[in-house]
Amino acid sequence: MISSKKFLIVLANILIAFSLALPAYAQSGGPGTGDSASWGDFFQADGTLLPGVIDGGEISQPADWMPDVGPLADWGISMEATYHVYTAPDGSTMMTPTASTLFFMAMNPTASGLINANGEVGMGGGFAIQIAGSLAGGNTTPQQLLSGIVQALGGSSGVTQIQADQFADALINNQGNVWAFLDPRGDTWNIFQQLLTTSLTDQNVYLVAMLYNSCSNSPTGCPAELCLTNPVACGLPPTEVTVVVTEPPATETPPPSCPGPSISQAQPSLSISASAPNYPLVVGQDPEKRGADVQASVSIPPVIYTWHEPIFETEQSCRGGTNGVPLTCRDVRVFKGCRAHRETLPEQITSSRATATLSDASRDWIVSDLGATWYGAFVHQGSFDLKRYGSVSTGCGGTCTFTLTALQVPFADPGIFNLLVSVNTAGTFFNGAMITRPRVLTKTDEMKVWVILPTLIDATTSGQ
Amino acid sequence: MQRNKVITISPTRIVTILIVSLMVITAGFIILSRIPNLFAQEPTGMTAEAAAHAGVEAFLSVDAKAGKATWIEKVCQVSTPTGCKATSEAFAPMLWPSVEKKGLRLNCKAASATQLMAMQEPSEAEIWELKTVCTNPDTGEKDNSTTQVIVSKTADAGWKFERIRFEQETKQ
Repeated sequence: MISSKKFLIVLANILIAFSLALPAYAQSGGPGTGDSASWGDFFQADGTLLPGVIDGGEISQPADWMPDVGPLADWGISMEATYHVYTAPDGSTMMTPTASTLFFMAMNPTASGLINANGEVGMGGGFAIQIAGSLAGGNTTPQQLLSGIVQALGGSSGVTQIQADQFADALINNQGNVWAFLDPRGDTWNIFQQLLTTSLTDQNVYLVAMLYNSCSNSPTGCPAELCLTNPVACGLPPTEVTVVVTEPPATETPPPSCPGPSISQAQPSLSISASAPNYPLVVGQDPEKRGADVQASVSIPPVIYTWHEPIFETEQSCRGGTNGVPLTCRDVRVFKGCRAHRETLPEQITSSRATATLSDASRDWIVSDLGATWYGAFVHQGSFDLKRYGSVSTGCGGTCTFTLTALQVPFADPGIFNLLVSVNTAGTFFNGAMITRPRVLTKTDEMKVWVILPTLIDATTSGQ
Repeated sequence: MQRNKVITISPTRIVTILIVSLMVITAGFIILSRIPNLFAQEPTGMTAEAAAHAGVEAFLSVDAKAGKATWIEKVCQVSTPTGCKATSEAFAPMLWPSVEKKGLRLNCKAASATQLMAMQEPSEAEIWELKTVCTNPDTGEKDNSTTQVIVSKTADAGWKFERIRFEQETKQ
């Protein structure tokens, strides 16, 4: 529960952020102008989403700058960075790290992309940064950016501007070992503790936005619904063009003497099934309300795109030099062969769906057969979203994956349920050209949910 | 023959008795509040060492099958309110995706504990280092390691687990 005081502080922060963000947006270019997007491209003045903006929800991604939690790291368990993703109708994308993710970004500003390799603010990872309403870029120094983040995160827990400046200085001066200055006997550690506690417990306060001009450049890719309504925003050809472009970029078109480009991709694997228990019982009959566990997974291997670059060398070609004919030479480009390039292009998952739907035959059986014996039997929940009952994780390091583990799903009706998992992909691109089109991958399976029906037997005739 | 004995108390005396009683009670409260140690109750709840043991064992013993909610519940039973909130709202969303991806189950036990530091500001807290043994019951695999935790003193429930220190923090 959030106390009313804390809620008011958070609300005030958000209002201040938006009140500062909107004038900044008014001065900058809007969507499609080529300038960086801003919070104003996604939100209205009252904090609600602008029409057409797609709320992609929260996503988690592994990040090498996140710290390790005790021995869990030895077992391959890592903390993942968490963001909320919004996509505007023009394709520009905003990723807002949660407070704790932002805290760890600030602890590792270069690795996380807040500060680029040249020691400048933002743009290191192809995105612009906006913090608490003011545009961080141009004249903003890394020290100001980090101090701003520390103040924004720790303001409600009493971190002063002076402390924030000191902490930011320490972060910048200890790039080699950012944790080294955290001696538990010192003041800096106390500030760290305060910041960490606030960050860990104020998960939904978004203070910084990473703004990508195109969803195809963002780590999350483009939402399928946007690609359907505005393919150009996803970097796709307009809808009427149906030919798949497989040519490499114009500047790299090989001559006839080199082989054309080729595409290969292993088959994606999809699965969805009930994992436990062996005989799931309708929850209405089960005193433990156990329900059933359902697991779904999708694995999409990368597209391997091979293209060939012609190799030319400049040689001198001479004529004459005999019989009184003067020698004339000129440089000519001579074709020497082809160099093969192999590109591994991940096919990103842009959206996913997992549902359980009671089969038509089972619906009929409940209403007709069961209803005849048990008066008033009806279908309680014939179709539902399995993602409501579980956690989803996605990843895309070459092979792009989607995993759903839905535990103790409360199936309320007996019969056969059709399970479905479906993902939309962004297709693949190389140097701005589409290599494979976006597609929808679907897998279905079925599971049984059982019911116990007592039967009345005439005991006087059972022995005959 | 019995004779009833009649005691007569004047209104002035009743008022005097009431005033004196009030003064005695008030004086008693003041004296008791000045010597709290004399009447202080025995501390309730866990010791700092027990809180470190309980916290590290609950936090590291993840079980993908039992689920995230069960893990949070177990950690919260031995945590301060802040530690519980951090576990449910931050550590769980950040850690659980990879626990589920790996379908991992761990039984972790703390073998020994050493107090590294005690702090009074901003609140009473201690850092403990524990030798832990984690076993994967599905594969039999074992891992011995050292984990540092922060425990905090609460007003009403003794010492409680706050959080695990990050590897990067401990390797200064």
